[in-house]
Amino acid sequence: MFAAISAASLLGAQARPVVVEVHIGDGLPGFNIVGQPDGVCREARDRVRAALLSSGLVWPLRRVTVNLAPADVRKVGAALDLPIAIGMLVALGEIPPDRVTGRSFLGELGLDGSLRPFPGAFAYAEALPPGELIAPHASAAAAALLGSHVVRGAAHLVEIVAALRGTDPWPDPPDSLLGSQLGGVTAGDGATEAAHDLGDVRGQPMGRLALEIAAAGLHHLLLVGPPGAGKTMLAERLPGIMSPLSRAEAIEALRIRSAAGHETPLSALPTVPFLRSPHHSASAVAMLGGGTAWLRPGEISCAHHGVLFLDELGEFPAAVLDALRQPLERGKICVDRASASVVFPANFLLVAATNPCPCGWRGASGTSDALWNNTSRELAATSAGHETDRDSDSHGEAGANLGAPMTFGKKPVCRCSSAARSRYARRLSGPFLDRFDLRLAVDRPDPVDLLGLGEECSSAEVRSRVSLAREAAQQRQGCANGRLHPAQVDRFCRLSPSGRTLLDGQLRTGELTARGLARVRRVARTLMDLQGQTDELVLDDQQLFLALELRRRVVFEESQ
Amino acid sequence: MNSVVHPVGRPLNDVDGKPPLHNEIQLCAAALSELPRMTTARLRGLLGRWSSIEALRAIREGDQELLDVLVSCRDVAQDLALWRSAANRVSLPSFSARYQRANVAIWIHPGEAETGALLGNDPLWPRSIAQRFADDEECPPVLFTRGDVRALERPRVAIVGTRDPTNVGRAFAGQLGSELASHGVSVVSGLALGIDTFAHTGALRHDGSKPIAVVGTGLDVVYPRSSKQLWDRVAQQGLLISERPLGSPPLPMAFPARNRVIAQLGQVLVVVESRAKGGSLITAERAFDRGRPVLAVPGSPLIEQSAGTNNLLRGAVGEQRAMACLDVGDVLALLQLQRVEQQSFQELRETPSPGALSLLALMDFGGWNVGRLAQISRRSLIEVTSDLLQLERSGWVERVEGRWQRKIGNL
Repeated sequence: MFAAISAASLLGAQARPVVVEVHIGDGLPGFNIVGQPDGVCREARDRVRAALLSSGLVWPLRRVTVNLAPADVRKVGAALDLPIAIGMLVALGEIPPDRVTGRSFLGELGLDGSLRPFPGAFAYAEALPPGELIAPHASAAAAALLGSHVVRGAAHLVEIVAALRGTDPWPDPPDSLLGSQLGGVTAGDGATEAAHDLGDVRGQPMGRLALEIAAAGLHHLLLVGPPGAGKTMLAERLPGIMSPLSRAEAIEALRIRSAAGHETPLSALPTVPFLRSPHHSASAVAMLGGGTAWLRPGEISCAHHGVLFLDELGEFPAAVLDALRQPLERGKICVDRASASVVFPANFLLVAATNPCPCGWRGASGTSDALWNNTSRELAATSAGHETDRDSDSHGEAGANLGAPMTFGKKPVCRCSSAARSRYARRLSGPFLDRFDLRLAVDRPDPVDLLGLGEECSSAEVRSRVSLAREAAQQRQGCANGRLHPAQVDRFCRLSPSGRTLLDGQLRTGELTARGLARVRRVARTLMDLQGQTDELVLDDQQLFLALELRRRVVFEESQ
Repeated sequence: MNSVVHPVGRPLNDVDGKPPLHNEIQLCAAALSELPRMTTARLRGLLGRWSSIEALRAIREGDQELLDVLVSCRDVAQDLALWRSAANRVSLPSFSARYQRANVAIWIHPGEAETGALLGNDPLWPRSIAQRFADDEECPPVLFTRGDVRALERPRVAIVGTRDPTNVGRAFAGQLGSELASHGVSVVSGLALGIDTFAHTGALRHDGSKPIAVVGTGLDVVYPRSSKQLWDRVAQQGLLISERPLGSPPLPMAFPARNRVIAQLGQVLVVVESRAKGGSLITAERAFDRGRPVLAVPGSPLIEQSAGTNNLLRGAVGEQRAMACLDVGDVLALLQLQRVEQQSFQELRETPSPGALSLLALMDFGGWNVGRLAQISRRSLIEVTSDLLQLERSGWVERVEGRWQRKIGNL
């Protein structure tokens, strides 16, 4: 009259093994669940009873006690419905006890005995003892990614009972699930590589370089520019050029997303890092993690080993942004509540985009003195000559025609009052802006670039360079360049005498802060690594210049 | 207008244990100018007839003669009642404390320069200015100042212009302000954004300079607030002047009146950049009215910010034609000052390397993105950045709002 079934329950982003013990004994008929079930879990009683009865199985008129061991940990969610039902059937002798050894069960039951998928299946699977896992089809597919269990899916309680009794074989997964599993989706959020290739970005040499550096050294990146300059386009292409996730990283990233309820059907462990881009209305709890029902990982943890993209940075509440400062330094976030404390890993690459002022056009190249600037025309002329040199003169003409009217055409000019500008700039705190290693003013691409031939490097090419640099840094110092400690900076990013003079000048004029100095050296280190000079510990002057250019003050830090 | 001799009045109580800096006449003048709906014309009418002490008493007592004095002004009858109740609430000791704490001196015109003596051992209001105001129909009846009134004894050049200048306008205003200051000239301006700010910032580059700022608000109301630092530096090194009493907010009508005072104080007026309509043109007309020489900096007809100055040059504003101002020499000649030739910054800069020079040749006065410069010059980002840094260190280019641009002018 006793059975023990292996299952699991979530705490934060980590699942823990749970043994569901069922005892059926004499006494007044009743059903009790002990072992700190939460509200949802406690209601399992009614679901299990209805499911057993509608499946044509028995419901004992005896005293049933269910214990969820270990008793001192809170159990959440409806995934324990199935193990409770199976435990009762074993205790009642409907299923031989030896058929459940070496098997774990998870799933939510409907009143008709059907099985429903539950969030976090991938995370649950990690905590289960080795062997078989029986779960609803969709959850089974998610858990199968881990590859550590024999996973069996089912659509109804009856199917499981029949298979356990040996009367029927295990059911096949439905066609719909098969289709999505074989669909070849490998990137996070359904973003396939083909949809976001770096080769699609025209012009923007500085933007492309900044992305490459960010990916190779895990340097946080801030993009400032007018609307339509391609800030979002650049940021979306970052995961595609980062070095592929290792198996351990992919499992960790997937587990957190799974625990947060962001389960997406995948056919294999992802290799492209995830991109999370929360809207600026997100609350601090949504960003950092927490919540009332159970402690859910926040956006920064869902971007673990991936990219957190904050578009319209200036629109985020200052309190939310400043709360990001600590996890940015530590790579994790501790969520402490009265009920529990959990640590969510949050080692992410931060990419942010913002306009320089309310209208967005402050400082935009070729707009401050539109009449005096003949950028477009010159570019058109040189480009036209260049292209006719080769073969296609039609392209050249189109470029020249389009370029010329731009010179005296109406380009938007910033007309924000200085008060409006400084109010906008004050939304971003200095300490927060200081966290960005790379700060870049992005301008709208020129028509000539947009109509050009598009010979830019593809994501795959850049990714191979990035992977080599990342690998070299890992071997040299055990971490990415963006995560170097001050002592390590002194060791691996040494300065030549001329480089020292240069930085000295920048520090004296106040152009560079002490924190900025270390960041410039780290970025220069990454530039060297990308050039293949991985063993040379003294930084090259020219790379230092380039790093400095990428760290200079951005538009809104300058007063009138 | 005849000057009137005012009695000094009763002695006042000490403020914070220090002897009072202002006498009763000055405090009564401040009290008068703080009355509701007080205008310059009314104040001038009052102080032309009575001393400020007598005027305040006349208001309190509802003197019949007041109406005769003010009959030329509209709506006097309603305002008299208003004045009367306000005047009855005036407490001179509190005025004394306020103006003393704000370190503000009070001057009355027309009047014997001696009656304006104030602030301990400060020198007196310069006689030349008193004369100038005495001949002026629109002379400010009461002025409030903070700083060194000796700044007014120097040659004075007013520099005004648009609040939204081009890069070249900023550079020229700064350069002109700095060069005038180095010739011992006080730069008079309005502390507005744009040209005013750059002219004063340029002037303050010289330690010995004494810039003069005429503002449209009370001397304790910094407007625009972002100019706080500049405001304080001018008060410290030069002189802040206002026609408005303490606490006066930025009212729209105060600024054209302020422009009039700028035109009165400057011996020469230079308009650096102005749109086809703007406050600088009002200042220019006021200067024309007083027969002061007006200079304007010519600009391309395609630039909006030069429309006003170009109109001044072709005589389309007011009755007269402005003269062209191409460098500091044009201004100094009018003041009959000798120009001291200085080595220009252009000559002090080291010659860039050939690569950097070709880069410089590509850049014009707009802002440049490094990426685009690299594209046009067909060179690598690394070469372009190292050249730009070299050019920056030798003073050929600068970074403004995240973009590179050629450095204009000598500063």
